[in-house]
Amino acid sequence: MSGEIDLRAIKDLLVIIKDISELMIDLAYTSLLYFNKEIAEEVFFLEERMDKLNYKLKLITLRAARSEEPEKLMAILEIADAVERVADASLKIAENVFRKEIHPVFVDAMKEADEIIIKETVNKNSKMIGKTVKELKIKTNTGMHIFLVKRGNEYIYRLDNLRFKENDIIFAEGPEDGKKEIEELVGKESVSDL
Amino acid sequence: MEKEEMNVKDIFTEMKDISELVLDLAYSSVFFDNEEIAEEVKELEERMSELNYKIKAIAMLAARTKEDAENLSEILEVASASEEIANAAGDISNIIKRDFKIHPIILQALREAEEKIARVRIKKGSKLVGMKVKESELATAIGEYIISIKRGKKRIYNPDKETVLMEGDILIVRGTEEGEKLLRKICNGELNEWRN
Repeated sequence: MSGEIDLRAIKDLLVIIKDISELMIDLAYTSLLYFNKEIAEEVFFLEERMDKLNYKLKLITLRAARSEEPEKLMAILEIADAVERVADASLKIAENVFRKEIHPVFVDAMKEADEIIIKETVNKNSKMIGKTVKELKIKTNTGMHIFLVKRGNEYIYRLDNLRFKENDIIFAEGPEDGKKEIEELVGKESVSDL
Repeated sequence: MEKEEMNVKDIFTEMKDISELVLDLAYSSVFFDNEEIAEEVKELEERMSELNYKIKAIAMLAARTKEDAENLSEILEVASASEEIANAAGDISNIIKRDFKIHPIILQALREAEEKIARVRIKKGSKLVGMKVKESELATAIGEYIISIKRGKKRIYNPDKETVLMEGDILIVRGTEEGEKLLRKICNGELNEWRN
């Protein structure tokens, strides 16, 4: 019985770890290409989180080995090791953002030179609340693409069915002139309103 | 080996593209016990080490002053971190080549949680030949997203809507089991009507 509970816990952890490891790679390169410290800090944060999750995964796997065949669990430990290396490598890439300036090669590698990344919080008076990306036609209306939402400690990047909530932190990339429209969308109070 | 002219920017861009793809494929190969996808991972891993070699060679030739060298070391660090990602992905997909088996209960649950990645070749006579990705409507009509195209020795990462599909292209797609079945038929030329 407890064996089965452990197996489910292993599966749940694997799904989270898989998602985080892929997200870390994306964010690491994004932080480097946009020379963006905020995104790099997310990578640092995720790396710490990954350490804890990996520790937990190994622990549960070892515990499950008491009732299950250890051979069937070896692969999990292999994955845990590999994922740890991916997290470390992502961190190494993101760390470059804390240097004095970005290397011109990385600037050159950016697809659109005039694109920016922004991070904004959804305010309580925002018209985004309760709506999905599709309903809001964000790409069409602002030109910006929301690629990540942080809700509390949770990262959400499968955004198709997500309904925005107050205090969601959104990350968007796109042309510079989309910034104002996103700010308006999240209900950011402009200085003139104060 | 064929002589291939690449500058540092080209190399770095491809390394980034591979990094973003290879881990995804590695997980999928293990969760779905798919040797074909594991083979793709291996190829990408080899390509990555080739790119790392190229970038090192360019850097060595370019470094004339101490300042040059310091600047270049930053690029080399990113390159080696990228290679490390590909190597780790390779180790993950190696699980299926060795006799490691994942507990069936875990595997079952993972398959339910994940979308399936497949590798399908466009054959002669398929409606897809000559079609733009946009026109193919594979994503909207059957829920299959093209994440990479292998065309001979060349790879196209994140193909855009205007990319024209060709006979012999090997598509790496993400979608459902049902979508994969339909796509195989479309690629074999057995199914000609699927678009909305």
